[in-house]
Amino acid sequence: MENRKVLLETKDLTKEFKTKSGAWGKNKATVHAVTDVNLNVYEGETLGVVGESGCGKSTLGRLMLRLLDATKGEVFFDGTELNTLKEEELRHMRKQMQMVFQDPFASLNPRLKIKEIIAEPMITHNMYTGKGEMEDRIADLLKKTGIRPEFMNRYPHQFSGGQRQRVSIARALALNPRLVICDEPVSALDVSIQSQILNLLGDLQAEMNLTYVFISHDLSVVRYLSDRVCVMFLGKVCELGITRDIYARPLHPYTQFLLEAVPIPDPEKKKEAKNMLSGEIPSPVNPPSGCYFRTRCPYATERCAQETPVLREVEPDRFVACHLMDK
Amino acid sequence: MINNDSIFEIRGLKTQFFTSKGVVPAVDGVDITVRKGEAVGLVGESGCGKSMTAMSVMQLLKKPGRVVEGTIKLNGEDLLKMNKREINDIRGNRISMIFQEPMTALNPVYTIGKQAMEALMIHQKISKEEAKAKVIDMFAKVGIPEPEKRFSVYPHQLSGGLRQRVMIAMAMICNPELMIADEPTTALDVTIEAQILYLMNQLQKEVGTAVIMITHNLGVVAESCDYVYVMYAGKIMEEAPVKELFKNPLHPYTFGLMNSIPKMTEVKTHLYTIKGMVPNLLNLPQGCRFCPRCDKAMKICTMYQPDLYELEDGHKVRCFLYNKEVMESGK
Repeated sequence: MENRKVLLETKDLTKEFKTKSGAWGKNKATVHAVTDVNLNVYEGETLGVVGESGCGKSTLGRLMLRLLDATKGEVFFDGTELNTLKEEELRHMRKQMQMVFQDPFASLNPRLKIKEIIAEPMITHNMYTGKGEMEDRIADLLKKTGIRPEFMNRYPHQFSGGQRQRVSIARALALNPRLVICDEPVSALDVSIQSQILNLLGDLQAEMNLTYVFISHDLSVVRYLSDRVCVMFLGKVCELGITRDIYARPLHPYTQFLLEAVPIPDPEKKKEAKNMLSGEIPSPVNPPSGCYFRTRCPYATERCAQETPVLREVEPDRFVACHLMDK
Repeated sequence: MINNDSIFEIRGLKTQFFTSKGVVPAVDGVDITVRKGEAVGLVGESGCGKSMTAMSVMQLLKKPGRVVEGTIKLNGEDLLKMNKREINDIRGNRISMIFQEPMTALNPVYTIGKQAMEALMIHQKISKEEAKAKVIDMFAKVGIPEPEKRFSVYPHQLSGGLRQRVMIAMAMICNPELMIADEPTTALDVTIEAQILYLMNQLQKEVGTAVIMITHNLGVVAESCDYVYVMYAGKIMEEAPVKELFKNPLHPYTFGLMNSIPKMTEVKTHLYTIKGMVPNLLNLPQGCRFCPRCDKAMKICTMYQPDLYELEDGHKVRCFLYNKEVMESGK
């Protein structure tokens, strides 16, 4: 791992949202969406980010591209700190990092033809001067993502969900990015379409040497696509490591329960009683003291309430934030 | 688990939508049998007609949709021949339903206690106090913490998992013979999903309610159903006991579906894909509905629709590959 090049690095990345509720917003509260995240994304890899809703995985993705400004902490892309960049420099930088969103119905402008949708980033960044050149490029991108180039004059509503997601991917690839952040790119799609898009993402990565941050709540999908996986709970990373190792031997109690909860499509392997987490996910407005997971953790001790566990390397390439690892 | 006393039978159900663009055959000749206490899975992708089958049973279809043919029998009585009052006696009482979205299925302006009491007050002649006590009991049974306190809480004050527990409590409160659950865990996180599936399983065993579980998630089917129907473009493509179906998927669609999902236990470089997409119901192929996407399509598949063939072991499949005459005649 050491000889691999770090493409993106986050240091103590934190995001808090201030909310107001009640009459005239008199009840102010702070949502701790992402707290002290330290991550490396290596060039050419796929880093999976998993967790349940509200765990901050989407916020983390947006912070990585500085689509959101961090409350605290730094993001380095290829050595440059994004939060200090001026607007113009940041725009230049964004050429290299793109995003694919979850909902292919909401993320494409319904009034634009798909050729205009894909051309937009190229126009913004003055990539081509000639119109013919640009159309060739659009046709090429559509072909690459599995849509017939003749369809470039159609509007998004003329396509199915899977095809729209292909258009979103074509748009993300228009600028030849190095990093693509995929935020739940297949969760709105049917099973038979999902596998088509997953295969496409895999093929494109090999072909264009892309680096992916793949955000998903679906543990099977993450298992399929990721080299390394980062498990988040309530805005914090609880476990990080090589996908194969984590799925074979999860160390953090939360990862253990999460993996056990996934329904397995094989009735022969059905267990009569699963080890299940009790209770609900605590609120990020008012997280528990110490370890955020302790209120649901069956192994929690006195120490977990008082002291916040830090993410540390417990064995090569395996990081866990849990006091149990000290024994 | 398998016994022969069927309590619920759908035969030849056809539900169509009469739109300005033409007639949409959303459910096209579906047969489903549910035995006492059994959990039956109805699997398929969006638009295959699985929810419309449920809506037809509950008679909740909205215009321009209408059941045009078939029978839906609960213990021998045909629901489709009943008048409104008779249906109201059954709905929420002997057959209940859980919807996918616990956020929208509950009424936001009434407390959950009041909503749960409604079914009891309508169907059973009991006093308010008795009904309240029963609701609190039921809330406790479905694992709602502090049920007395939660009785007077509004839906928005609860999390998604708790709202789904309220829905289950409401569906189970009259001890129904059949509960239809339409994607009951799709909107929930995995750790909560596991809790809800476990709860439904427990209640089903305890009360003896039969369940029709509608889902697109094969994992949910494998873990919670005894018998499975696979639906595609309005038709049942394959049906078998759950273990048999997963061990031995016969229809090319079922096979494709099972192999296109990434597995937790194995790593593959490429996933199996079913080419193309679900057909438009307004413009269906002439022959087998899966034919344009099928790897094994033969000439006959483009011309005629296959029947649901029953094999020796009871496994049923709608595919010419399993018709001896067709296969022997050399396509």
